[in-house]
Amino acid sequence: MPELNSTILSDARHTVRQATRLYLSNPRVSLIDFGLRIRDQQESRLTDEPCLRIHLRNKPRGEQLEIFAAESPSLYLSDEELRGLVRDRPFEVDLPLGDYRPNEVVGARTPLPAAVGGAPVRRERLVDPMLGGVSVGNAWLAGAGTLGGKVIDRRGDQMLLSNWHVLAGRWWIGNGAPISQPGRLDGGGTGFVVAYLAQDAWRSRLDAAVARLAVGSRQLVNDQLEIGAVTGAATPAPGMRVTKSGRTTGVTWGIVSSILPGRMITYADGFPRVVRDIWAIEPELVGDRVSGRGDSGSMWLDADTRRAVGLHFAGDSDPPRALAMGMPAVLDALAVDIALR
Amino acid sequence: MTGGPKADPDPELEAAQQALAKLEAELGYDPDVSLIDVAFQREPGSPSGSVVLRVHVRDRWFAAKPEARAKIPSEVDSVPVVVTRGEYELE
Repeated sequence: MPELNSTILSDARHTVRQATRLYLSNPRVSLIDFGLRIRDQQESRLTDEPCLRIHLRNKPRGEQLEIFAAESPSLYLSDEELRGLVRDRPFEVDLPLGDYRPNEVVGARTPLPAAVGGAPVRRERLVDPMLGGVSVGNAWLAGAGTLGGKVIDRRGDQMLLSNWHVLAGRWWIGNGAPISQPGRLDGGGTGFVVAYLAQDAWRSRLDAAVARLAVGSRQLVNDQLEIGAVTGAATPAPGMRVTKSGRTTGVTWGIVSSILPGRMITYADGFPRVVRDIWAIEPELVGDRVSGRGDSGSMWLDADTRRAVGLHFAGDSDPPRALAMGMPAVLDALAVDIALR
Repeated sequence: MTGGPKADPDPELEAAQQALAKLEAELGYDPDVSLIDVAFQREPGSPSGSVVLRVHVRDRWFAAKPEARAKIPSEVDSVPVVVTRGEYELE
């Protein structure tokens, strides 16, 4: 196999992103990645040739392909377009057959074990030490969202990050309100207080908040259940492959589809509030679920670097799409940083 | 820690940013509209994706009579506008 030096890998990442932009909305495409060429007419045997791989759900051949190209031009991947993608690149394009089902475990998509220190973890139960991806909520209210992760303020105080509508959710709930892990909906409450609401980000039009860990609280570690530690923060980018660990849908993957973020009005507590810096995330595989109720507060991470790029807060199931606020804006608004230890 | 050096401004993106601001001012508070952002859209037969304004609308927009629902332009300052369903809920 040819040596995959950093230049080739950099080219590969760039090309995968270009291809993602081009084919994101093509329902024939099930996955785009960079890997070894797959001989799908020879029992899917791998060769030693690295390629940009555009996995297709169906592959008409010969005369059928010509008919398909004429009848469905919007679904057809033209040779000219594909050649343009890898022009001046030291690799070619491969179009393997691949109709992946939701929840299928494929290579790098395999999550880490749902365990902390070797002990199995259920996201909606009490977890010790605490980490990103588990249930959290306001101890007074019957609800639950996701503990996004560990951050520190400018004084070095340890805090947990989530959405305002998860940690507070009512206009009359102010700083100092008790935060429970798990959330009350999952059996938590005033007997499970681990932190106290410290600040929200509404002045910056962001549905985000932090809670300062209570004295003697369970430990909070920089880790995302089934993903691993967060390595920093970065701005979302179109075509970026992202992943999150959420209380309801667990580990899911997506692709950032926004080029420029938008803003929307939410009614978190019955009052209209504008939320800005919103990035849309589509499922990586057509038909996959990206998020569900209870995932609010999850951190979306760049799947390649595990840098936090977004804070999940809303979604829709038809078409499946998640909405996240850009993480740099969230951290700036709350004057906190990702805790790397 | 929050991002790398800024790239040179892209004229296409700058134009989209301005068009986005205009469309947000026009439709951002319309109850039919849940979100407006900028995305790539690949048109049939086109060799590459183009930058479009994407208006996410609630179900009520589809259900309403044309004369009663938000009027969404086909383009803003030459930036095409596409409509997508977006009945978003806090999760």
